[in-house]
Amino acid sequence: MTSFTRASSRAAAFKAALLGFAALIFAGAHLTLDAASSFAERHLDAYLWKDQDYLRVFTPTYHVGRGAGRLWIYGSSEARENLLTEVLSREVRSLKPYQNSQSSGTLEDGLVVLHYLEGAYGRSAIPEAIVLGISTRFVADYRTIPSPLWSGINKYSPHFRLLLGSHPPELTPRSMAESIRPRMELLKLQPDRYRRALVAIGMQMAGRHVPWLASKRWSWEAYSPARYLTSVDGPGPDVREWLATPGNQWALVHGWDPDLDRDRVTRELRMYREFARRYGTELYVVNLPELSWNRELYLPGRYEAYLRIVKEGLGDTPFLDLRTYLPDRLFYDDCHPTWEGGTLVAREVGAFIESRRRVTQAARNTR
Amino acid sequence: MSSRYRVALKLTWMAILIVVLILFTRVRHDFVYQGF
Repeated sequence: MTSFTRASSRAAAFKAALLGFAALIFAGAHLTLDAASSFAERHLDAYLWKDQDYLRVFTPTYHVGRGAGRLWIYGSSEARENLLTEVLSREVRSLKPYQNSQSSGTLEDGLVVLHYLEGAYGRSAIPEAIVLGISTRFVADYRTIPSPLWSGINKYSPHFRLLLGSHPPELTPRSMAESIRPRMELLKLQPDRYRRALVAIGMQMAGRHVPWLASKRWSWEAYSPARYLTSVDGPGPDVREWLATPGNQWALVHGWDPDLDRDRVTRELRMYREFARRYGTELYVVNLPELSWNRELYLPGRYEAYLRIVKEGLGDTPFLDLRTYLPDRLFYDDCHPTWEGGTLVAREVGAFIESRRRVTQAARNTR
Repeated sequence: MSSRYRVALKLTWMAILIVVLILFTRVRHDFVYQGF
């Protein structure tokens, strides 16, 4: 009887040890994969949340200690495809571009992200320069889906939750205990990040031995920010039809009356300017290219009102209007440029920023 | 093969299995990426 009890307690101890070992391995594997991902984000400039760009704000390695010398890019997916980091880094040598644009992002979302960086990561995360890629939909704060950023903060942020009601919504700090649940929720999404990190590290290592690999887009596309859309003949007639379809998001944008929204737009732009002034950050704003079919569909005077209100709201902020810069054949669809189109835009924007920086620095030197 | 060696081998397999399981976990995102 005694030997039976001893044997069963030994088996129970063995099972407990096995479970403990499994838990240890599980935690160790997560820590190791997280360290590999942080390495890829910090040293290989890998964008590991490729399809879930709003999650970048919750990843400290992208932000802590990285604000100095950074050109922070924000906008919606159009800004992501137009303001290509690879091109901008060649054009603006004194700054390192970081793409923080977000699918379905709006002017208000950008303020939430900036306040998040400021509150969660402090001064070292504040960029040296900001470039906003704007469009009518972005400034109108229209979304086709609820903001993934807002719900993302409430679900995944260990630092804040979002209090809706004010514009932009307010970030309220979470206590240590309150941050456990969002950390666990974010942990569930990490396998996506880990996989891309291993691809990034593997491809970079392979690229050292096989140099031609670096010239192949497929070797780095999995962990770069843009989707590098390609199209031979530009958008087809279906896109024209879609743009003019009543009741879709474009109908709302084309019918938007900026004068009714003037106070909000002016206030939000002022908040960007105040943020920039507070930290000595340079602010540049680029009005992104539009397809000619799109340009034709605005109600009379609406686009002009949008431009006027934006320019007034920006004051002396450097502003580059590229609305008509790209020919239609360099668009992939209703609003995104092809890779070739994005390259041209990024070159133009890079030259603009570089020239403005030279003027500012010359003015500083003569003081 | 000693019993210690057998246990170490099993634990190594378990560790590999856990890493593979983590890496190949299918993640369910709230935000369904719609192409752009």
